[in-house]
Formats: sequence, structure tokens, C-alpha cells
Amino acid sequence: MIAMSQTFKAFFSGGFGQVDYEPDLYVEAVEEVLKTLADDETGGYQVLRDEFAAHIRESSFPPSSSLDSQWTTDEWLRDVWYDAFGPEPPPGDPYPVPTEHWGHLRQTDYMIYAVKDTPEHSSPGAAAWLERRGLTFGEVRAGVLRPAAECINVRPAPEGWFERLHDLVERGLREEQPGER
Amino acid sequence: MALARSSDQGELRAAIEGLLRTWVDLDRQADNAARASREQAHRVARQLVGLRQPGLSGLADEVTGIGTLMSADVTRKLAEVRAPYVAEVHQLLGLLAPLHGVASVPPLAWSSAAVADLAGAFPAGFARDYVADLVKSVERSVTLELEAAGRVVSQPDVDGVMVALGSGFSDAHRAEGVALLRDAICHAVQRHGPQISDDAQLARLIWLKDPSGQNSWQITSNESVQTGHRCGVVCGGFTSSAALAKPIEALLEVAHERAGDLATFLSRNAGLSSSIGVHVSAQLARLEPGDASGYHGAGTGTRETRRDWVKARAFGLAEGRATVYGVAYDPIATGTDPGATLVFKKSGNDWRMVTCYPVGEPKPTDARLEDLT
Repeated sequence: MIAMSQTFKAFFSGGFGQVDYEPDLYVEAVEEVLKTLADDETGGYQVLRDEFAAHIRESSFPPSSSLDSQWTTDEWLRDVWYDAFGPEPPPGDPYPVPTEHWGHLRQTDYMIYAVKDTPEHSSPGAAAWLERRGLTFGEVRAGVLRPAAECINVRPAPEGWFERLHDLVERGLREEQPGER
Repeated sequence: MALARSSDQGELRAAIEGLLRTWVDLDRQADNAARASREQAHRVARQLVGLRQPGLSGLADEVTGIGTLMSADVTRKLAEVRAPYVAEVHQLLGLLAPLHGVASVPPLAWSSAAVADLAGAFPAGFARDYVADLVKSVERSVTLELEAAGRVVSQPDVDGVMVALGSGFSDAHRAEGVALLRDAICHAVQRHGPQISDDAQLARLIWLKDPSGQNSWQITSNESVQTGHRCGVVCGGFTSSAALAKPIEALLEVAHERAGDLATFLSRNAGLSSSIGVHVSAQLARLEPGDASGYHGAGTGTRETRRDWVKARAFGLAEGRATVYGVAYDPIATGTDPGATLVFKKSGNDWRMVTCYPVGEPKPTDARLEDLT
């Protein structure tokens, strides 16, 4: 998988990619996933989900700016994946996040924007979202306010990371990004 | 700092930024003082030289020398004053580093407080980049006190803007353009319309106060803010109804020309997706500098610093004090690839516009209008 397909771009740009500009659209996109998957008679959504997994597996979703790295971009994509689909890592992810980190040591944009102290102050879909992930409002809020020194939101890039990127470039699976040599 | 170890990300960021801002202020004052003493000495020396009395020229040199010494003294004193700030910020950055995928921050060099620029006092890499990003926007950034945010009047009535909107469209697309903007699902006018004042934009960014008044907002009895509104690290909109209409007009023109109607055009290009974000470049939309204005969070150059900023804002809301800053900008004038983002969602066989806002550059996944078929 080298380039993002046009339909994947559409799928990502309408909601998952909106958190910095329109967090409401991000929250909506996350909450609509369940219904969309349930209604997915043609399997079209599954195709988009598979492509999403491939971009994480092969580091082929380019960083948003020259200040972001491929590693931090991939870590963010793992957060988006969790927000959308839950703790089961994307198929083939070489660096899966330990399940127990989610909501406790690691916070996602949905947790920050949609989950508040009480259900009344939270997004209408938050209760269902939490339940499916085995988390409570209290746990997630405690995680969001946890001392920074105890959090593992973005892991350090693993040993051999650049070699892996170079290999993926050589195999034609991704395009090299600035600053990787 | 005793609280540091137990501080969450937002409190840490607010503390780091507060220290750096105090430090920049101090620097500026010391700089002024040093310059004043040098200038004063030069003035006296010039007067002495002007007297043209034998023997006085040596004295003039001496006076100038004293002035230089005085400013050197201020600079040296400043380095001494700086040292604890550097140490403090360095320690706090060490606690923040893991949230940025950085395992640890190298120790400070012993002479680090004496270097000329603030960022240069920190070890290269994460710490220096972080300080540089923050310091860069100190001069241009503003915040809004809670009291002032409380006085900002929300405007639930956007009918006036809605009426004026029509004039921005061509006859061919007026009815459709206005209908897209009037749709209940669309909040382009409510959040990015020309009726929103600068203060209302800032109140939205810093205090999450909905400029349209639809979402709840109140200051509680313990001085914290309860809000039902969301905003990212950027806010802003179009400065006139005509400017807001421009990118929509451009998209409708292309859609009709290439596909006959908007729904066919979007369905064809979105493929399997039931939503799409389209970047309409300033050139295609004929957007010009002055057509848009807004604020972006200060010191938000990376995804991780944006998270820091958002959490510092949440800390400020809970504490009832301004902890984050915004930089006023015109995305059309300053962006590297400016334009507007239009987001559409499919409902049934129809497509509805959710929002339309100006941007300095598209996101990597935005579809570009010129690439759509």
C-alpha cells in the first residue's frame, strides 16, 4: 500500500482528520462507526477499515507537517483506530499498544473531547463507547488528569525504527518522508 | 517545584508557558535598562566632546566606557537571574517529555544560562524545540480574561447573516448555496460567519464559549467554567458574507459542470465513504487576504504540543484562569496553501454540507477540488 486511495481520503477527511479544526466532527465520526459497520451490507466500510490498518502497518500515512514525524503520526493513528474500533489492534500492527494502557496510561482525542466527569456533561454516545471498551467515566477522567510523569501517551520510537522505514520504502510500500536519513 | 511531579499534562504546560513568558518579559526589561544606560552615557559623552575643551576628550571615552560596563553588568546579572528559570523549565520539560515520545531530556550545560537566546539555553532536541516554538509566538499572542469572556455576547440570531449570504452567490447557485448554509446540520455561519467578533472568536478558543449561544456555557460558583461547546486549537471564519459564499460557489460551479449536480459529484468522488472534506484553494475560490481571520493556539507546532495546549486549556477552564494563548492570523494571507475546507455528509442519497471554514493549508487527506472528477 503506497498511496492513500481517494475513497480512504474521503473517509478520513470528513471526520477522523478533523480533530484540530472541528472536534465535533471527530466525535461524531467515532460514534457513527458502530452503526456504519452494522449497516455495511456491501462490505465497503470493511474495505476502508482494511486500508486504515495497512497505513498503520506500513507507515504510509504521511505526517501532517514537517514538524511531525512518521512515528508520532503512527502513534496518533493507533489512537484514532482505538477510538473508532476499540482495543483490538489493527491487523498486523508491529507495535500494538498494550490493552491495559488505554484510558489509564494513554489518552485519546475522544477521551479528551467527549468524556467528562458525568454522563450529562459528556457526549451522548460516550456511555455506549465506554461500555464497549470496558471503561468507566471515572477511570477515563482519572486517566486524563493523571500526573504526566506516569502517562505513556506517545511511546518513544522503538529500536531499529529507521531501518524499518527504509525497508518499507525499498519494498515500495511507502514513500520516504523528509528527515528519515 | 513541589507540585511538578503530581501535575497533569495541562498544568505542566501552563506552568512552562507561564515561566517562559515571565522570562521573556524580564529579558525585555533588562534589555531596555542596558540600552538606556548605554544611551545615557553616549549622550553625556557627546556633550563633553561638544565642549571642545582641552583634556575632555579622554573623559568622554571614559564615560562611554562606564556605560558599556553598566550594560555588561545588567547582562551578567540577567544571566544569574535566568539560571533558576532555566533549571525550573528544564525540569518541567523533563516531566513532559514522555508525552512526546521522548524518553529523557539531556542535562543542562553549566553555561547554558549565559547564552543569548532563550531556546539556546536548553539542550538540543525536544527541550530546545519546545521552548523555541513557545517563545516564537509570545510577542504576537493574546489571551482573554474570564471576566471579559463572560461579557462577550453570543448571537443566537443569525438570520441577518443568512439574508445577506444570498448576495455572495451567482444567480445560478444562489438558491442551492443558501439552502446548504441554512440546513440544520450546517454550522458554517454559526461558527465561522462574519457576525462573530474577534473577542467572540477568542472567547470560543480560550474559554469554549459558543458564539451562537446554542451550547451551554456558565461560570460556576467555584469560578470554574462549565461548557457544552467544543473547539480545536484553531478558530476563525470569514470576514464577510460574500467571502463565506466564495468557496461554496466555486465548488457548486465545478460540481455542476463535471457531474450535473452536487450529489452525483460528491457520491462519485467519495466512493465508499459517507463523508468527505474538500479543500477549495484560495485561487479557485477567489479568496483574498482580508477575507478571513481567526486565531490559532500559540506554540502548537506538532500534534503533541497541540495536545498539551488543549489540556492546558482544560486546566484553565477548571481553574477559572487564562492559561493558553492565541495568535491572530489571516489564513488566506499567511497560509502556505490557503483556501477553505468544506465538509459534506451523505444522508440517504443526498449530501449535506456540515461546515465551511478558512484554512492556511489542507490536511493530508483532504480532497482537492481540482482533483475531483
